[in-house]
Amino acid sequence: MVNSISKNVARVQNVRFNALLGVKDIIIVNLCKTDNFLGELLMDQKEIYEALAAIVGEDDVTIDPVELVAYASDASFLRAIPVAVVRPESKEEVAEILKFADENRIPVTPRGAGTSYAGQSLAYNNAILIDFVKMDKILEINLKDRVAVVQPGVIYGELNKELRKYGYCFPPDPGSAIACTVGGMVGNNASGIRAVKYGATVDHVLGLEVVLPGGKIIRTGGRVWKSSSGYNLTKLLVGSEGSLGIFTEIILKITPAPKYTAMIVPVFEKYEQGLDAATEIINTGILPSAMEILDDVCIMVLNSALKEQDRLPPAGAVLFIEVDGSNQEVVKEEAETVRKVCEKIGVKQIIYATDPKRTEELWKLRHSLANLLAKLRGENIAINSIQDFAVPISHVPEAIKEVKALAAKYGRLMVAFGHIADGNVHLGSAINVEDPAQREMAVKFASEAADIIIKKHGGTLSAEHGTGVSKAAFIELEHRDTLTLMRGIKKVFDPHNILNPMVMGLTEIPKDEFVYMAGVK
Amino acid sequence: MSTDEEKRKAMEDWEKLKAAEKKTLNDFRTQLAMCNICAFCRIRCPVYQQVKWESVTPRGKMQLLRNVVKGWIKPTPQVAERIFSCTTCQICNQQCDAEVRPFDILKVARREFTEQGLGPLPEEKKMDRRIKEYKNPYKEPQEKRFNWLEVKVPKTADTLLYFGCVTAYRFGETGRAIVELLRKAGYQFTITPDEGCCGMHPYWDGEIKLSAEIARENLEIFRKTGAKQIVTACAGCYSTFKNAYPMLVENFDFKLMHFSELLQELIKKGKLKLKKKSPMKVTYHDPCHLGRHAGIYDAPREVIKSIPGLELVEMEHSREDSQCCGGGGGYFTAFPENSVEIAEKRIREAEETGADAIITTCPLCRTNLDLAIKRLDSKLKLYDLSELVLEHVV
Repeated sequence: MVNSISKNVARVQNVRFNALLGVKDIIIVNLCKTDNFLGELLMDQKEIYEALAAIVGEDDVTIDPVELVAYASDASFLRAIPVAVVRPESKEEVAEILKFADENRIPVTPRGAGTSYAGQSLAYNNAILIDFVKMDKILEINLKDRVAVVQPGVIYGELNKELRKYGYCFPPDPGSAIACTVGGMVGNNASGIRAVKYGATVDHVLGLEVVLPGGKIIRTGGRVWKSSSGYNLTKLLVGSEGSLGIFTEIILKITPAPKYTAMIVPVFEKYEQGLDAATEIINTGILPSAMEILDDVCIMVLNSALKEQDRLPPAGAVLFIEVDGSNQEVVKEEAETVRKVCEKIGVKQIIYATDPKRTEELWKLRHSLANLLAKLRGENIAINSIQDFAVPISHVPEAIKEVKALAAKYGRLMVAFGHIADGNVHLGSAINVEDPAQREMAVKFASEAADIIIKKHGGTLSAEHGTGVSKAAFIELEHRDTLTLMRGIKKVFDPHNILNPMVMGLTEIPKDEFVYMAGVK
Repeated sequence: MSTDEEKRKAMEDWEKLKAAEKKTLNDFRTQLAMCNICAFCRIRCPVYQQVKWESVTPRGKMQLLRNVVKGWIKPTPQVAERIFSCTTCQICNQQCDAEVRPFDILKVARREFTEQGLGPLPEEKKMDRRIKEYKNPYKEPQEKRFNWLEVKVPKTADTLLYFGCVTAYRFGETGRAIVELLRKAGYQFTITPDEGCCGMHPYWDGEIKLSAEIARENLEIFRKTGAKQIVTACAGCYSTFKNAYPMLVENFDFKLMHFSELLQELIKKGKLKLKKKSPMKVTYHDPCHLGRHAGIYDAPREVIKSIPGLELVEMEHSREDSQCCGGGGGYFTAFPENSVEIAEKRIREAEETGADAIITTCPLCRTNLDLAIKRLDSKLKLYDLSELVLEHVV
C-alpha cells in the first residue's frame, strides 16, 4: 500500500542506513510528499549534526545509526528513524534548534518519554528528534499561588511524589504515570483514571513558555487561575502534539490531594451487569474519583499476573471504583452507596479497601493491564485507531456492545476496558500484519468502528492518547467542518510546516497512505 | 586441557551446556515483539539514568535486538556496546508488566554476541583473559590470595568458606572478620588454598566456555575439601554458584549459603552474642546479585536488627526494588566513570535516610560505594556486614 513517493523516501533512508549499519530492509514509516515538504534530506546528515553540535555541544547530539534506531519507536505500532537526536538543556538551545530547523526546512518532533500510543513522538521524514530528558527540573512549587512550574522533561510520577510532600497533586493520572513526562502530557492533553472528577491535563495548565519555529520564545497564560482576556492560546497549545510550538516551561495548577479514599472492586457475572452498575452509580449523583471497567478477557489477563490467592473469580466484568474527599464520613457514605448499587445488581465478589497500601496495590494492578495485554497480542500488532475513544456517557454501554459485535462479525478477539464514568473506553484488538487479508480486514473494521463511534454516537476517536499519526486517517470524519481551520492555525504558527507535520491530519496525505498508517502497518 | 580424554570431555560438557542454555535470541521473537515501549524499565535502569540515551534502556535494547532478530539490522560492535551497557541488576524484569523479561533476553544476547566475536567489550575481554590466566581479575599471584589469613584451618570440613577474588585480594579485613566470627561461634569450616575466581565475570560476558571451564575446575577443588556446604562472602559469587553453576557443570549439589544467612543462624542459636556500642542509625544496600538474583533480603536485615543500639532505616528503594550500585555485570570494568556516578546516586539516597552508615554484603558493591563516598566527601561510614557484626560481638 505504500505509494511510490514514500517508497522513494524509504529508499533515501535505507541507503543511509545500509551504508552505516548494514541494514538489509529496515521497515520504517515514511510519509509522502506534501506541498511544502519533500520528506527528503535537504541537508547532509553530517551538516545537520555539526549545526546541532554547535548549539548543544557534541555530547548532546547524535547521528549514530544504532542510537537513531533505538529512538525509532514509541508505544504505537509506528516506526520512524530520526535524522538526528538532540538533547537541549535550555529554552535558548531549543530556540536555536528551531531557528536552524526552520531556516533549513527540516522537520522537528519533540519527545518526552516516548510513551505515546499514536506515533506522535516519532521523527518522520528525516526529522530532528528533540529529547527533553535534560530539561527535567521542577522549577518551583508555590503553595501560596497553588502552582507548580516545571520543565517539559519532568516525569509525571516524580512531580506528584514531590507535590504530595506538601499535600498536593497534579491529578490526571495516565496509565503511564510512572514514566511519562509532563511535556508529553501537555502535548497530548493526556488524562487517565481520575479525569472523571479532576479533569484532563488541559484543565490544569495555566501557562506555557513556548518556542516557535524560527526561534521566537513566547509566553501564554500565566499564574492566574482565571482569565477572560484574548484567545486562550494556552488551551489551544495543550494537545497540539508538537505541531504549533515546543514547550520549554509549563505552569500547572496544583490540587489538594484527597485526604480519604475508599475503593470498591465489584466482580460481576456478566459484562452487562458491570455496565448497568456503572450507569446506576452515575445516576445516584455520586462523582467517583475513578471508575474503571474491565471485561472477561482483561480479568483473565490480570489473573495471569496474580498469585492464586489474589486472583479474581472468572467473570464478565470487574469495576475499579474510587471515591475520595476531605470528609471521611462522606467518603464512607458514598462508598456504601456504591456497594449497595453493586449488590442490588448482583455481585460475585466485592473487594473494599481504604488502606492506602491496599488501594495502591489495586491501582497498580489496574495500571498494569495495558502492558499485560501484550501477552495476548504476542507478535501481532494492535489496531491503534480504535484504541481510545469516548462517547457521551449515556452512550457508553451501547457503543461498547456495538463495537464488540462488529469485532465478532470480523472474527476478532476484542478486549474492552477503560474509564467508563467519563465515557472513555479502550478497545484492544490485534492482527498479524504479514497477512494481507488481516490487514484488509483491519482497515474495514477500523473504518466501521469509527463510523459507529463518531457518526452514530457523536464520539471522538481520541479521548486521551492523542490523534498522532495512527488516527490521522479519521480526523476528517471527526472534524469535517473544522479541519481546514485547524490547518490554517497550523500555518499561522508554523508557516514552513516543520513542527511534527504528520500528526492530526494537519498535512494532507493521499488516502492510500492514510489507510496504510491508520489501519495497521 | 592437557589430554585428549580431557578435551573430549570438555567438548561433551560444552555440548551439554549448549543444550542447557539452548535458548537463542530467535526464541525470544515473541517477547521482543511484546515490548510495549512503555518506559517503565527506563525509569529505573541505572545505566539509562546515568547515560540518558535511549539505546541503553532495556526497551531500547529490545528494539535493537528485535531489529537484529528480524534481520533488519546487523549485529555490529556498535549494537554490542549497547547490549553490554548493563549492570545485570535485573530491575528491568521486575518493572516489566508485559513480562518481556528484558534481562533474560539480554543474557542470551550477550552470549550470542560473544559467540559471534562481537562481545564482550574490550576492557571486559581483557579482564576475562586475566581471570583465565591468573584465576583472579587483578593479576595477583595465587599465593597472595590469603595473605591476610592469620589462623590455620583444617584441610577438610563440612563447610567450605569461599571468599571470592574481591574479598580475598582487596578486602582482607572482611575475610579476617568472617574467620574471626566463625571461630568465636565455634563453627567448623575449611578454606581451600586453591580457591580461584568463581567465573561470574566471564559468565555475564557470555564467555560460557571459559566460565564452564572455571566451574569444572572449581567443582574439583571444592570436592577435595569434603565440604557439603559452601558459604560465600560475596553476593556475586553466591548468585553464580546458585544460578549459573547448575547450568555450567553437572552434579553441583552443594548446599549454598551466603555469609549473612550463616550469621543470622549463628546469632539466632546464641552462638554469637552481640553487645551495644554507641547507638548508630544504619541503612542496608541490597546487592542486586543477592537480592533480585537470589532472593536474599531478610537475613542481612535480621542480623542488623539483632545488634543492640542499631537502628535500621530503609532507603527509598530497597529489597526487590533496590537501586543498583552500578558495579555489576562488568559495567565497572567497561564504564568506570558512569559506574561510580551510579554509586553516587545510591550514596545520596542513603544519606537521605539520615543514616550514619551504609551496610552491604557484597565486596563489589562495597568497592563502588566506597569510591562514591570518597568522591562525594560523604560522612557516611561503609561496612561489610561481617565487620559490623565483629565490632559488636561479645
